[in-house]
Amino acid sequence: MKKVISRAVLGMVALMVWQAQAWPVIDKLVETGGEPIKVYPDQENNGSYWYIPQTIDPVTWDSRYKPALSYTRGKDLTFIFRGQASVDRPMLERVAKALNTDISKFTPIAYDTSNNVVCQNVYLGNDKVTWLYPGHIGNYLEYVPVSIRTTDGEIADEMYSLITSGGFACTVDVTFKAVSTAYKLQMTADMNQVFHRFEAGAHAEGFWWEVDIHTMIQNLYRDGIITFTKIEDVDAPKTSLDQQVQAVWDDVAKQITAMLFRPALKLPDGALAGRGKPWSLRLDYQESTERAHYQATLDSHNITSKSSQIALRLATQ
Amino acid sequence: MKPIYLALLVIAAQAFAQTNPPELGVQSQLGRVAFYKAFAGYSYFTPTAFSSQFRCVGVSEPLCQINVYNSLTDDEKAQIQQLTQSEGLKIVTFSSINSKIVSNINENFVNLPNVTNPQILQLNTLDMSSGNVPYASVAFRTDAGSANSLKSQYQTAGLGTYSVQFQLHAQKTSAYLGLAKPGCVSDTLSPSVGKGLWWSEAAQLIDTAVKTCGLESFGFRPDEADHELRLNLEKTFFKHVFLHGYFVKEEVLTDVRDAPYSAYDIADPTDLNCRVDLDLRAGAVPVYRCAGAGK
Repeated sequence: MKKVISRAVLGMVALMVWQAQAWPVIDKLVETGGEPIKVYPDQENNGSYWYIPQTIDPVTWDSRYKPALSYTRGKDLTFIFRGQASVDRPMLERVAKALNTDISKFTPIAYDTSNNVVCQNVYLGNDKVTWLYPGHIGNYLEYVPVSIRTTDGEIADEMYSLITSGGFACTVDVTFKAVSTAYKLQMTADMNQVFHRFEAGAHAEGFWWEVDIHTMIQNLYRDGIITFTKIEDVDAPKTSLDQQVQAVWDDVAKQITAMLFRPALKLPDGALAGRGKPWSLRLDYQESTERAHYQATLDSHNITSKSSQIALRLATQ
Repeated sequence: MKPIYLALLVIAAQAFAQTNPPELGVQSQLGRVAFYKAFAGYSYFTPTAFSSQFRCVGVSEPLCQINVYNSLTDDEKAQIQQLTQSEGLKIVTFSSINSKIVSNINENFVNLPNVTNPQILQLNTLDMSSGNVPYASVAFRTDAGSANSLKSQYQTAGLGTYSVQFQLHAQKTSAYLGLAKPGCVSDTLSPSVGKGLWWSEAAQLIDTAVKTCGLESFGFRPDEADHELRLNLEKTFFKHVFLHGYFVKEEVLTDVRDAPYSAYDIADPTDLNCRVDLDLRAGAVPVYRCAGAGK
């Protein structure tokens, strides 16, 4: 019998490491050594990976929970299927080897929703056959129970032949949560000129409010001192440059503030509400040729819901 | 001189760690799947290893199934493994989840035999699986005579076609300049992290990287390639601190540790209309075709 990793076992592993996990980055590809499996990196933890189980297969757990088939030739058949989302364990081990790690670093992606189980029920409307299957399959921890019974001898023989030689096929729609890239831009700026603009517009002692830093940065963009270009690779969003630039301001402000400012120790007089944190320009900022051609890659992720379909194979093993 | 400045405006000029879409220039067939070998980053095989099976069970009113599978043979897996080992390629595949590479997947059984009430299951995902799980299937009841006739037809003319159409987001690289060996630049420069270097020492390290990590280029004259690569390595990996000399950028080394280094990768993205047709016939192999859709 083919060795598979039960999602229940891996699910428990997943729960143990859950605190340390974030989300799979769904638009980032991971080398799989040529194996046909979808593996994605963890958003937070370098070296941790997620994979999507490809099929619902028969499962055996603890030698107690497994598919059961009762069949009397030419008379009747009862089949109780117990399946779980799974992946071929040797395949996962080969993927781990290709990534110079081990399978403890791999967590299955749980299904967020599942619905619309469709089975190839050629017995539909046949009152000699009872075929029950759930409308959804739950997440990765749950078994998928299906039962089939017939007292028609010829159909029983037919079903036995099918169940023991490949099984019946079903499909189910699933969704799962992951993160994908919201923007991916290359920022280029003459930081020396940026510093001079802030210096010229500063209050006493180089003081700036956070809200005014944001406004100045947008002015610098308008004046072409800060520019953005789209990075065109497969995990970059397909949205326009303008749309991505609209989303990037906080990130840009964070970069520039970190480079040019320090938290202000002494607040100026006046209202504080709505003006954000106070900052002081770094008066020890050193100009350099490198800073005149400053470049940074800016990207950010959004949690997204992805939909897919997976196959169920109703068989004994 | 190569018009690098214009080229940079075109698209996709990244210093390193590029996640490229499938590269059109070096497409080949690897078993039943199309293989797109990249100059840098990932090489792809298409998840289109389709095959079929036809069977009928039962006597008086047989139940027949046409199953379509989407799985690699051991030999195809071995060929892919061989490329990872002999050429050090990073090889991946994709499915409907990777919607920025593949989109608009549309699958159909066409020209099926005229049967009553066929039950059709399809995934429309391009997911590959192990060999015993059907990717798509048709089940139907027929009479014993027709079942025998269909079995015979499956061996000869076939029972129709399983047709898969999708749009593939790909790129065509017109010029490339880089170092192929993953991690090589990092290995060369890592011992110097944290040390102040004279420019001559930094230049020596760049020279070592160029010589040991294997310069690869096309679309550039050799002298242009050498010059541009050295300039790019300097800009990417070193920073100058006034009065303290040159330092290796430690954070950049971490970023590129496992990525091939490309100084210039000038590529035009394009969307292709692709289709795979599998004759539903014993032993038939899928036919894969792509044509440009324009942007």
